[in-house]
Amino acid sequence: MEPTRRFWVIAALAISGAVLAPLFQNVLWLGIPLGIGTWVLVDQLVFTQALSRLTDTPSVTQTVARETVLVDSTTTLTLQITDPRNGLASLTAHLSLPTVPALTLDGPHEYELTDTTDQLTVPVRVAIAGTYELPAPTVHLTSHRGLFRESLSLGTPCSITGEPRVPRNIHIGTGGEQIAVADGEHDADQGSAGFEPGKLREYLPVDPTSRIDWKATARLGDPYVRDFDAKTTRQTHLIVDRREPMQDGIAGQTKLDYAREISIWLNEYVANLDDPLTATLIDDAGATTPAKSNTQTTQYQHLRHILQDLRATPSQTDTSQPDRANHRQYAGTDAQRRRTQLTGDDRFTQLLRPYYQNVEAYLQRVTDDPLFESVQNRLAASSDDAWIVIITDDTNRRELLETARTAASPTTAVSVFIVPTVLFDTTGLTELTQSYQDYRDFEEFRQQLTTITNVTAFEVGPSDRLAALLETEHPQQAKQ
Amino acid sequence: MTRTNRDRLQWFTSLLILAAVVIALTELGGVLGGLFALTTVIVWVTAPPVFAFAIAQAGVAALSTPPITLRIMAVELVVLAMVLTDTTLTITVRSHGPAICALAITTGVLWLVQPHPIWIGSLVALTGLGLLVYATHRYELFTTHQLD
Repeated sequence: MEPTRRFWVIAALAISGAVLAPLFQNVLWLGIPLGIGTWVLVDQLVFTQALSRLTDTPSVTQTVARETVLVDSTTTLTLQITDPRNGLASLTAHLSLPTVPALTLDGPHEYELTDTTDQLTVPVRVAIAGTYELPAPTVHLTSHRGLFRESLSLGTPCSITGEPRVPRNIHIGTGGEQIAVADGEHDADQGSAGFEPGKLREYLPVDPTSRIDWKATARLGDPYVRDFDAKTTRQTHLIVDRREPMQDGIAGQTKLDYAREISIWLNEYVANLDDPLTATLIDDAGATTPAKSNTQTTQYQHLRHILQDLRATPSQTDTSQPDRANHRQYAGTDAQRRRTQLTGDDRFTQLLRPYYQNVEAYLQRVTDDPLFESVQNRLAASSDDAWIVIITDDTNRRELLETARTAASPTTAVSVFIVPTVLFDTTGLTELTQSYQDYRDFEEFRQQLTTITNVTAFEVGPSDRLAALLETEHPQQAKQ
Repeated sequence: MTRTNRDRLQWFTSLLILAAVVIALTELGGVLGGLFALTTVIVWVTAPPVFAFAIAQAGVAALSTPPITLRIMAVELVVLAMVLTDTTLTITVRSHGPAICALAITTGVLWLVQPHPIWIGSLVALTGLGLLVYATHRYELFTTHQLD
């Protein structure tokens, strides 16, 4: 309880009366402080009783409509005032809502409480992800005569959790089936030999006998063992497509957001293996390599920061329409090989020859592609076994197919993580039959990629959307 | 009794006490008392009643000289009744007033029969009131669970 300005004015009046009494030698002046004191005490006692009633009865209940919302989403904070007249009938009271920096109340923070106030509804927007405790609202009361004021926290606190707009339920798999992408370390047929011989040292009783180097033992006369140094590093090239089509999808769950999650996971996976990692970001203007090959811990951390900050770049050419109709065309190397085979002058050859005349132009178009170019540059810079990881979507299928075909070799493994466009249709999969057909189309393309030796292709996307697509329409075919 | 009737009764009581104060002051001080009474009425209308009470009490103190006679005591009681003429309070709440007034009057009477300097009376009155206000404040903290 705090005294107001009016209280101090009244107190000054009372003190002046008490001073005048000895000054004029008249005890009746003391009536002023006594009367005023009575007046003040009555007000204070009545105010105390009202506050006590308010505290003892749960008069304010605070609830939120949804305790968990996405960042930048709005929920509703409801304040139920059970009996606003309970002790407030003759008091001046206003209610102030709690202030949490990350929460934005779309409305005033202060509300005047009247006899008819029984419910307040305030929209609350969560600006930053996290769990926030909304303290009980504060009711500010002023006594009947305005001499005292008090602020009480009435009601119950509640919490709001703001979840970040990031991809959840990430599906990585093939043909709608979720699979483990990488278990353990390098494949047996990938990378260099697992160990290389190290130094010789004398045999110790704790060493297993199988590690005794018998040739050295015979040569030196005492049992010797040979230590081995692990050497299974493999150059990994992470190539992330961030061109404009990667912006497809709802905010926070775009293709690029999924690509970001996959690339961050891959960064950690490679870091655990201590493999050198090079990251390349693809946009329309070309490729940038913000992280060069290195195995230092700081390098992986640096790369992680870059990947976390991954943003799509605006398009410089119109690549919005996927060339799905053409993805079954013969790829450049196939076409080139078949053209050389058309040597005869028979009618069949004459008929086919015009179809292969534009192969050079086609090859030029593919080699000008940033993704193709980037992979070629990475391969040229890599002298040893390499693992090329491409994270992109299926917008430019022909380009992707040709890139994977060119990159894969017995010493170079290619993993392609493709984000299907059909899973990021913002219209909400309304045309399910068409969406399912698009997905089938994509799956055929993915399978076409996997037919290339040393190429593995995975689909990446929201598992709930994929499940909805597969379960709603043609569930049996989806299992194929 | 309905709320309207209760309000009317409160207003009637307040006006009755105000009229009694005007008569008592005029009777006590003549023209000067009348001026005090007029000022009291004006302040009562324009400000909280406690300020009107302070004016009236100052009038009683200024217009009377010791020794305190029964006539003066009667006027004093009428003026003290003004403390209760607060139309914003219910009769139940006003019942606190007489209790405290009775305590103050008893203390005052006991004081008068004891020959002490008046400045000690002033000191005791201010100290006592200060302690009472502070004690009530602490009681409020206790009842509203703010002392946990």
